Amino acid sequence: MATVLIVDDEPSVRDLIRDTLELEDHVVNEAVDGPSALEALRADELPDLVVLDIMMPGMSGLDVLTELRGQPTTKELPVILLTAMSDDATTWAGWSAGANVFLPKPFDPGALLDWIDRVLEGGGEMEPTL
Amino acid sequence: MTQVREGLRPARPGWLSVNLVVSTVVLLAVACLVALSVLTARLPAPAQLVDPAPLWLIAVFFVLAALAEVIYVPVRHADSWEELAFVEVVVIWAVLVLSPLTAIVTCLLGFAFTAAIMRRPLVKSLFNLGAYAIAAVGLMITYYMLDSGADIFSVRSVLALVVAALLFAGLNLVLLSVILYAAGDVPPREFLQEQAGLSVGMAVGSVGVSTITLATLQYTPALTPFAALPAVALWYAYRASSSHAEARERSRWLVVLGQAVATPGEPEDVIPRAADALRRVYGADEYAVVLHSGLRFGSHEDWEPPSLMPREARTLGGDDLPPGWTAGVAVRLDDQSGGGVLALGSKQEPVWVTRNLPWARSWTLDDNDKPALVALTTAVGSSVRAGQTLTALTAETAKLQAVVDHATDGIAVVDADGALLLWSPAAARITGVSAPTGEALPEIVDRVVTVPSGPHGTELEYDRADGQSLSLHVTRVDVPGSAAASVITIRDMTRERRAERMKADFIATVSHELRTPITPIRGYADLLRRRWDRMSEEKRAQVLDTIEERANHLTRLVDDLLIAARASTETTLTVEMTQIDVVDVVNEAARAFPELDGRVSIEESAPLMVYADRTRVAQIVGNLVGNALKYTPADTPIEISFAPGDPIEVRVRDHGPGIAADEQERVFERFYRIEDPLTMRTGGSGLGLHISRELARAMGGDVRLISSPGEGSTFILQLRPEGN
Repeated sequence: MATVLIVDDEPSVRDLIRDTLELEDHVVNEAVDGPSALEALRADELPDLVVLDIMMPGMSGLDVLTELRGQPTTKELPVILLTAMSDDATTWAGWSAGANVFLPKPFDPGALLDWIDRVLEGGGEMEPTL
Repeated sequence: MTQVREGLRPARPGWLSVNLVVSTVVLLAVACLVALSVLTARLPAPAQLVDPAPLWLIAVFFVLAALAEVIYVPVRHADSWEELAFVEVVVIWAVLVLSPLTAIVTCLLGFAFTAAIMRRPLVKSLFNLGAYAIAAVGLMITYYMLDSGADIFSVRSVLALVVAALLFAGLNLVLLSVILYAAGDVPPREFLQEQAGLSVGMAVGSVGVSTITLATLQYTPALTPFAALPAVALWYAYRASSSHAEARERSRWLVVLGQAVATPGEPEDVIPRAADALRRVYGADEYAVVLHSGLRFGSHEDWEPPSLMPREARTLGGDDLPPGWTAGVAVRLDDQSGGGVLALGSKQEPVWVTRNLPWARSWTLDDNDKPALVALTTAVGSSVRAGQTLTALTAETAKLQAVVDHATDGIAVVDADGALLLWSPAAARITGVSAPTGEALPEIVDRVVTVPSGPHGTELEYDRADGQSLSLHVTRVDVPGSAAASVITIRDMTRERRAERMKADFIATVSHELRTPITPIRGYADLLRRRWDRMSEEKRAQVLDTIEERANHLTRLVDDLLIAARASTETTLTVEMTQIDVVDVVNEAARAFPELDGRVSIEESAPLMVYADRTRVAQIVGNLVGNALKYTPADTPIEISFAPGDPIEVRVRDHGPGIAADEQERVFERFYRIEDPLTMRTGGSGLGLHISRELARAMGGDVRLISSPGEGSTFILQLRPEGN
């Protein structure tokens, strides 16, 4: 069982991930945008993993990830990037910002669970594929 | 003595005409002769007069007068000729020997005889005879008044003769200056100044020749032939004067020729001017030019020129002469200037009496003058060639100038030292910087002219003074060895780059908008299949509702994309037009937004019938209200009002941030997004306003926008009223 922070502005996507993870007994927290995610991650108790959408109003997921990798406490925090944009430039930007996994939408919930397990087991650096 | 022989031209405009002068001179001459006949009866006659003179003596003077007219030295004054002859000597002899009227009439008859057999024009002959008569009467009266009447060789008598001869020469000179002036090309003062010294010398010399001859005849007849020596000296004086006049005219026309040659132009312009100047330089009467191109100038008529070698100047004769010509010289024109032949010559007909006299031939060109003529003709050819080159260059320059002036891309040219040689109007228009002057180049000009050379060019971003951000594509091509060392083209790619960005943003947006609803649909379908047993009945129902709602959302999105695609490919969108109450449609559409409760106020209105497609009106209102919701803070009101009239208007006003003036039209563009797709605050395809306007226009209406930054926006749907 792990604690996962879901960051996505789209409620239906947040609901899907929450339902998927809770059915597997994970604990789920949610943030609707970048600033609220950073706020949640400044708390003493960090989640085990963050599922982060890229396209969000005001502050993109890439900006959030860059901010996290710049902080000592969140520098190693596992992050799975979700995005509906799977072009080369966005994918490369995601890897460059420090994502552990880059998962394009629409994704298979089973695949998401597999990646979460692999990341939490410490084997989760996905080779970038362009 | 001088006389006009030829070259009189039509009188210049004005009261002073050749005919007037000649008429006046003839009348004066008649008056002088009448006066002479009256006066000489009252004056003491010199002792040596032979009166009445025997017929043989009169015949001798007739012959002497006729010969004196034949033996002359021609002197050119512009296109007129002055003759230096021995007329004065014969007149003085006649005055000293014959009675006044006999002397003058005999001389005039001798002169007239020569004029007739030499076919001199009547006007000129009349003038010459009239001038002789006037001058001779003046000479005679003066001599009779001053002479003592005793010894012909006394000092007083000789002095009287000198004074009389000077008067003769003076009168003749004045009359000649008047007729040359009337002929149009010799200023009287200039002529008188030039000729005064010569005339005095001629007068005194004539007296000397006359008196010495008579004295020798009287006292030492055996030495009489030696009396001709002063006449020879006089002859040479005439020749020197003639040469001087020739040189003067030649210099004058060489200057004119130089000017003609130094002003390059078309052959039609340069060749006639230069050929006429050449004609005058060499004292010819005529010129003819026949070019290989078919152009002909001068008195060519149907002349077929002979074939000449390069740099050859050939004296023409027989069939080689242009028709009507009596003498001529032809020179070959440089082939590079078009090729052809130039001829100088004369149409003057030599008469049989003087045909073989060297001074009486029609025009000739000395062999020594031929090389100069060839050289000058070559210069004319060079001028023509330079003119043709200049014309071609001018035409080419005009073409290049048109390209530079009207090219839509900017053009700059720099030399090898980097100095700016050209900054085209388009370059100035694109950059907003006019042609720079001075040493320091404006920053953008410096950036443009220093881009590296290469076929692919360099992209420059530039903020113009008017605030526009431009994307410039600058290409530099080096031209080694040319004055224009580098040619730089400047293309404004701002619109293209913007379109590329819009396209990329659109793909990103549509990708996001399509994938986002698919994610829960596909994800929940997978979850239901794998975890159906672990999900509660309530959760399953909730999941199915989400799938249905997301599928509907996806359907609307696909519909929007299809409408946008049709709008770009079809003339008009298909709409089903009926009479509808727009107030009712707006209220119904607004109710689809539950979050509008408390924020929206819809103006109460009586039904307003419009001719429109009900579904599309509802869609447009939904788009406008949805936009207002997305772009305004949650605590700000949204007001919907109606304006009857034509068109009927539905106004949706928000109190959001407003839209800048330069964005107001662009928000209606397809694919246009103000925000970065990665961070845009609002969802949607960005096609809503574009589709709304296209649909409204398909119904005969429109969607307009009134907005100011900080004061919110009002979107106005205009529709056609009932019955219209």
